[in-house]
Amino acid sequence: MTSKRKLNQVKVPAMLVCAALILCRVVMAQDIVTTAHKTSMELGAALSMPSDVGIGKDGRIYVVDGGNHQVAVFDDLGARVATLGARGSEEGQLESPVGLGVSRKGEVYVADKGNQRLQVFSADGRFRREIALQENGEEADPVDVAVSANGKELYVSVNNSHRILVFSAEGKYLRGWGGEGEDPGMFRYPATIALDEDGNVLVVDVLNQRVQKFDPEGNLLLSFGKMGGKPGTFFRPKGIALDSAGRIYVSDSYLGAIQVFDAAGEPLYVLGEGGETTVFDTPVGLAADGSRLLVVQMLVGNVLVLEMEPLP
Amino acid sequence: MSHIRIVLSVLCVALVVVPSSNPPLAEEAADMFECGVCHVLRIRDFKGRRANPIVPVVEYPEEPTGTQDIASTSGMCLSCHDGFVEDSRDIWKDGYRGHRLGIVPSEHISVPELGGSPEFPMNDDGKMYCGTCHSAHLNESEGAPEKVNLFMRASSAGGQICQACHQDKAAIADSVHDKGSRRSKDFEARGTCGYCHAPHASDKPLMWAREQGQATIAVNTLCRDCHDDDPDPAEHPADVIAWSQQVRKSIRGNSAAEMPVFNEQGHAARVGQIGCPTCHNLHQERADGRPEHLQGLFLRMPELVQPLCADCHGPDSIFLYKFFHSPASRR
Repeated sequence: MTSKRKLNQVKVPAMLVCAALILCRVVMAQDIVTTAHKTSMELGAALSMPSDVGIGKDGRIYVVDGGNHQVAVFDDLGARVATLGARGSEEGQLESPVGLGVSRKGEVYVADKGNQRLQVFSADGRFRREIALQENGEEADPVDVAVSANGKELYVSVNNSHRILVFSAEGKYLRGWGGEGEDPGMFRYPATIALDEDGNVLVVDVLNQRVQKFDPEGNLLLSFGKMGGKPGTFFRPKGIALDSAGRIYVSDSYLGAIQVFDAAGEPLYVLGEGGETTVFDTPVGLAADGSRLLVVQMLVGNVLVLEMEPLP
Repeated sequence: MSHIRIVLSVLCVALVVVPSSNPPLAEEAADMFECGVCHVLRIRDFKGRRANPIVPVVEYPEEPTGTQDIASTSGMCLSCHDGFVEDSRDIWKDGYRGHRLGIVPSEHISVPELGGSPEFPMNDDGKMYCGTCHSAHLNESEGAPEKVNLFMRASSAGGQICQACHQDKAAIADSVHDKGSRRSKDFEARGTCGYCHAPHASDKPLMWAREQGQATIAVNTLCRDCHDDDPDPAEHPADVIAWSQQVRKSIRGNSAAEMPVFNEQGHAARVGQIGCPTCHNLHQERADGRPEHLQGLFLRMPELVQPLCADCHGPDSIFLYKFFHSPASRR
């Protein structure tokens, strides 16, 4: 009898808790917090399968025009002013480039994936030098490159070894980390790279659906994101950019969304308006500059220059 | 009864308390990665009435190629084959480059079966799509045969995958247009079909993999890559536009021989120019059932019944044609 009463005593609160939690779950379906933007410019003159974008010190915009095996250069008003490279394997030529990085001096480093090297151009577009990419005798297929603030170190994401390699500006191999896997610090196809103000290295880890942040020596500091469709998760993360406030922008090329995270990797916003996500067409490479966010749309073949609403 | 209620309550609480964003069971986690990497609706955030993903997806989207499972859409393929994971950007360059998609196989095509199902499946609308030739479910590994490395449902070596459906083209094997042809220039070991056709690496007519020669009519430039010994080849006037077999058939009933006509880009068209392939089909030199006197001439018309020439040149053209193509007059 006593036992029955106890059971009844348990049953009622359990049912109440259950009902309350179900209600909570329905009511608290995660809202999507959006941040508004408007397109101020569209760069699209004859681009073919563009993949990445960088901004030079004079405001020039460099776009990897991978389908044409070159880099398109636009001035800050959006007029196309130059072309770097042409298809081939000679000096100054490119084969299926993917990413690029621009140093503070304005030098343009292009991940010449098909030729397994970096091609370096001066700010005025002249070929400077090439850097052959190898680690322990193994050639590396570079996807992206980022240049340290002092211009002395190059961080390269490598497709075939799933590693991040660090070279000196002269091309000497310095160190590397990662490898194929899903454990922290490992990668399944490391893609674009961004460096923060402290020189830490943020890497988009495409098929682990996350972003990992390392110190310059390769020690893991932070990892955020996982496979999913809610804010803070990814399906095909590709591009990354940091603004001056340290916020992190990440594009998802399949879903077409761009998410904004704080420096700790907490999701802040999704680009959109009124809770509706803006769906871009295959957004890949990103670059941030003041209140502007540059978004490469691969399939449609253009670069959108977005003016962002001031973020709190 | 009370026990059951308690157990149900606890289960219910457990299900509700565990939020969907928490790590799922190990089995499902594996399932999510292995399958969810393409089958996006395996991911909990996207499915169910209450799902509120940042961008919703539908299971069977309408694509330009027809309705098909989201996992096998061109966009899903591109999401990895964009240079950041694998690099197949050439396929999507300038739109799409490759075998025509979104088409229903013609009555001439017989898709082989494997275990009771089509070996080369069509999408839900019965049209060709990426998954017709490729399947991500084939495991790629070092040293694997080519068909696995390219996720192909059959090997391209020797034109196997092409000829599985295009059986009527198989007669080209060991003909003068196959490997070892005396007119060969720079052929590499690309397989019987690969000498001339590159499904994902060509922006030329008929997925042409080779150079194009000089000719007035676009499709003839393909033949002229090798047949360049005559500096001024006889071509049918380029400004003459003729009906295709399709149009002629609809107007005047059945016509025995298919004589394709071509547009200014060199593609087969409903109405178009008369080019070399209108009369010659190099894929049928040794095809079964062809009269002996036509073997080696690559002529499409085994017998002359309402040939295209007569549409403009009158019935006399039939006698002229017969005269010039009969074994006796040729001798």
